[in-house]
Amino acid sequence: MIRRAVENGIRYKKKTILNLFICMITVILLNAYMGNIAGLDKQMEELPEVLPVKGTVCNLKGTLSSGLKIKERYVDGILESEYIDDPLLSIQLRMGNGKIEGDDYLDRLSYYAAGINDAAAIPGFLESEITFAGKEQGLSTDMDAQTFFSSRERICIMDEETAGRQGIVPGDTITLSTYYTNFRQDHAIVLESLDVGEYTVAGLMNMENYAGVEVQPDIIIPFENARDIFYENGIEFYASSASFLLKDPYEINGFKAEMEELQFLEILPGAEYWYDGYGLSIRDETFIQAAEQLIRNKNLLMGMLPFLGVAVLCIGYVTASLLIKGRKPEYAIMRSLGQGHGSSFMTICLEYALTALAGCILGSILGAVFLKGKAEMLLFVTGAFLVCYFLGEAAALWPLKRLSVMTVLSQND
Amino acid sequence: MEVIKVENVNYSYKTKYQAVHAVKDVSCSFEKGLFYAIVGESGSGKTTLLSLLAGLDVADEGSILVEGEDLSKMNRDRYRRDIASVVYQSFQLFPLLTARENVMYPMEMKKIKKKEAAKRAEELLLSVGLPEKIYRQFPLMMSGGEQQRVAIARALAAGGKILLADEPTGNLDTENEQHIVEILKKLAHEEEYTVIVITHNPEVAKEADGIYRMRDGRLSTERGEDAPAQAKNGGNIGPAAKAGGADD
Repeated sequence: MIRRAVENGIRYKKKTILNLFICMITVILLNAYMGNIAGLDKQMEELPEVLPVKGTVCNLKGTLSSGLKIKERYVDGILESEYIDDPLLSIQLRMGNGKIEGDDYLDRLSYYAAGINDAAAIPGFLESEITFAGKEQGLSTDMDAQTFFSSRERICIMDEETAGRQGIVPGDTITLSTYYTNFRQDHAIVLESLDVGEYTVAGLMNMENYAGVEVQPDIIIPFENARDIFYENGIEFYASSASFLLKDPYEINGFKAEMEELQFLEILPGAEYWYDGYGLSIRDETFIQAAEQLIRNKNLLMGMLPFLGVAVLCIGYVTASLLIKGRKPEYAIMRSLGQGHGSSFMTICLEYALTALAGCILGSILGAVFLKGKAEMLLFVTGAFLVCYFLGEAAALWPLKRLSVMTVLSQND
Repeated sequence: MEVIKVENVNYSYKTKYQAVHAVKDVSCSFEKGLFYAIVGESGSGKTTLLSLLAGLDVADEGSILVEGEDLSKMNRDRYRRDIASVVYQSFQLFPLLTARENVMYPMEMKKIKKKEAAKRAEELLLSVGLPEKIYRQFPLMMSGGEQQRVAIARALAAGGKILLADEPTGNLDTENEQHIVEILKKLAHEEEYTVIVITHNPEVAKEADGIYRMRDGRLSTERGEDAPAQAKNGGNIGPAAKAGGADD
């Protein structure tokens, strides 16, 4: 039967080529359509990277995002959250050489210092701008950015020019007095002594593109080390700035609920101007807009899928109807010669089905080559096309089964 | 020897608007080795009767016995494949098969090897008087007479011994008509086929061994001037139509 179907297909060249072409084009269009859906999926997947959602801790008024007093529980909440990636934390300090006592600290605090957990915590600062020291300079280990920023030891990185002026080289140990900003209950802001200690210079930096609003730091220490200094001196720790990226922006609602639990508040432009950092600014508008647009587009395409199925069904129906036109006598002759209903029906059905299959395979190959369709998508399209097309074809050819052989064959030309 | 026996057959079909009682209480029989003609006006029911004899339709009432077996209980596809073949006025050849391929078709249905089928097809085409150059021609390239001969050859290819023909000379000129009638007669008389021809052509009918007339769905034995064969054969035209079928 397959041989006969193939032979018939060859005999009816024009019809076969037409059917093949229609099937091929349909499959290519379907692949393009499904490719659009797959493309939207990919865009949605990549959206968090393209449009990352950044959260920044601010004062409640939303006017300050650095130089704040961010209580430790907020800092820990950020560090422990499963929704957050790449937290950037800093604490601003002042430092001076040697042990500073009495009221002359204002004159002697010659360094602006920062405790940070990542170079990016200082706007415009790059890891590549740091030259780390190592064993050669007398350090216990060869220092790198990761080791430095995660260290709890008293180590620091100094501005290259500042260090040069003072004849300090990597590996030197220097005594530094550290002061912190105390935001008092009575709204007074005062510098208060935090610690006096020895620091090993673990590297030099040359900050060329600093983009922060505060004074550019001369000394950098690890954030956790700064926190330890607060603990050691029995002073309540706080951070000056905190920002982060959302790990999965599509889970922004879960993140917001967690931040609410931590008692972060949304920015209130009418709030009092003060330094307490418990306002949370989340730049998610662009992401949400883009994501909503993508979801809308995808829903539209997905919503059209059933209609597309019906369209393919119709294509199968119309194509088979047109192809069978004029071939009813052929079916009747088969029946007249004693070929069974099923066998006669299948001979014609198979002829179109094989052509459709060939067109479908050809369309899939072209789809794979030109549309870069993935294998699973091509398989899905092929399967869906064949099911819909065959149903349409069967519906078109079904009336053959009710054909009155004698009526057809007795008609005179 | 009685090959086909039709007993009190009734058949109706429905059109969009009404039911048409096309065959009314028809009884007749057809013997081996004879050439029969069923004559009648258009719409008299003769083609419907042929359709019933070919097993393409099933009688509503009555029975058609083929060599004693009830046709309605037989596998009618197999009946047409192995026992009875039909030839049509418009030849009804497969348009994209050559003459030889058309004749081979019924044999291929029976799984006869292609080579063997081709050889047999050529023999059959030769037997109906077709030259070799025709074998590879497609139906549209042939004359009506040639096409009808191919159709007869195809009918013979099945190997059955009943040949039913619906106006087989209707589209042919006189010369070809005579040739076809000669072939049919020869098949009946020399090859022992039971040949039943539907025709409204008196020239064809007069060549028949037996003539039946259909009128308004009823069948009668033709005894008028349209049946010189009856006289020729000494009135032996097979069993007469039963009283119920006679309307003359």
